[in-house]
Amino acid sequence: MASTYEPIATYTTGAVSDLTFTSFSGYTDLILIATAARGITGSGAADFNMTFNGDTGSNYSVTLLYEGGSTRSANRANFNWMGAVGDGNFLQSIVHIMNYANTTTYKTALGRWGSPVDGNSRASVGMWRNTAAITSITITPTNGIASGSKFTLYGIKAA
Amino acid sequence: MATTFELIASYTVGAGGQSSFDFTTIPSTFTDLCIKLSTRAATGGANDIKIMFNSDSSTSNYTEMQLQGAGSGTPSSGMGEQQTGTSTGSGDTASTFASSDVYITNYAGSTQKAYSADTVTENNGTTAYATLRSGKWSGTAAVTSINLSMNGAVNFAQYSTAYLYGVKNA
Repeated sequence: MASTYEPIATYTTGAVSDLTFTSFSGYTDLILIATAARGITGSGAADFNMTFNGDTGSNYSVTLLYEGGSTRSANRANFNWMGAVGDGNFLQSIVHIMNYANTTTYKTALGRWGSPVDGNSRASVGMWRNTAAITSITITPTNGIASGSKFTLYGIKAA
Repeated sequence: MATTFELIASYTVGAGGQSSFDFTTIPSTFTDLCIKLSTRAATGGANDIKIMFNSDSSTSNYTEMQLQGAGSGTPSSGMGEQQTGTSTGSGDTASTFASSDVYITNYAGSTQKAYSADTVTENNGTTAYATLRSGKWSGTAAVTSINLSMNGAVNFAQYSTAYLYGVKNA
């Protein structure tokens, strides 16, 4: 039986400022799953951003739907596919990146993230306005990544 | 080649219903856990499903947030404890079951356990629910058992199913 869901790489980090996945090919879609906390002590949650192929320009548009206990709202962001993480709270992010290797279309992704401690839960849908195949994924939290955070990238095969 | 998703255990509810899904002796050899639910309440209306880890019934050890659309109006939001999925009610369209996808990361680690749960119910009527939930259990022990039950001790209806998968990153 074909294996359609394969682990590509996993990292359990020390205290680092960012993390990059490279060398993934031969799949249809990608899924990034993280259990992570912010690396620098502070108040509230820190944004947990993601960029492709080293592009840090204004080429991303992410729409977020989130609730904060008694409120709910939506907004737009540039890099923030993965939500945010708080101090010492190892929280969950899941991002699905579709058709990442094609060279014809802009790239889209769906994100799901939750932080009951910091006060919101999010779903996101976003686009990277570039037709290049995605060859690297960089996670760049605004306050670093706490030691013990875990990131795994999976590849999904259509056949 | 590694098999990423492995079935650990499953339930299919028989005639007469079932009060809970109990997954016990969960091995620590996986990275994450994933639960797929197809559920309907045996009595009453649509009903939320509670999750309990390692038999810890203290609600103060759980935090949960949800965003829920009900088919019309402004979506609701709120905080609670242990809510994970939502079941279709017994009065909803016959043979209609809700679908829930629960994902628990790093369940065998020594940090508190986070989960997400996405649910849709369906009903040939004006009200059905789409719900996004995020939750946390503050326990730092490895998760070795999971109990799923409905509020008010309502039974899961016949033909409801629950599948627990282990997800490996290597």
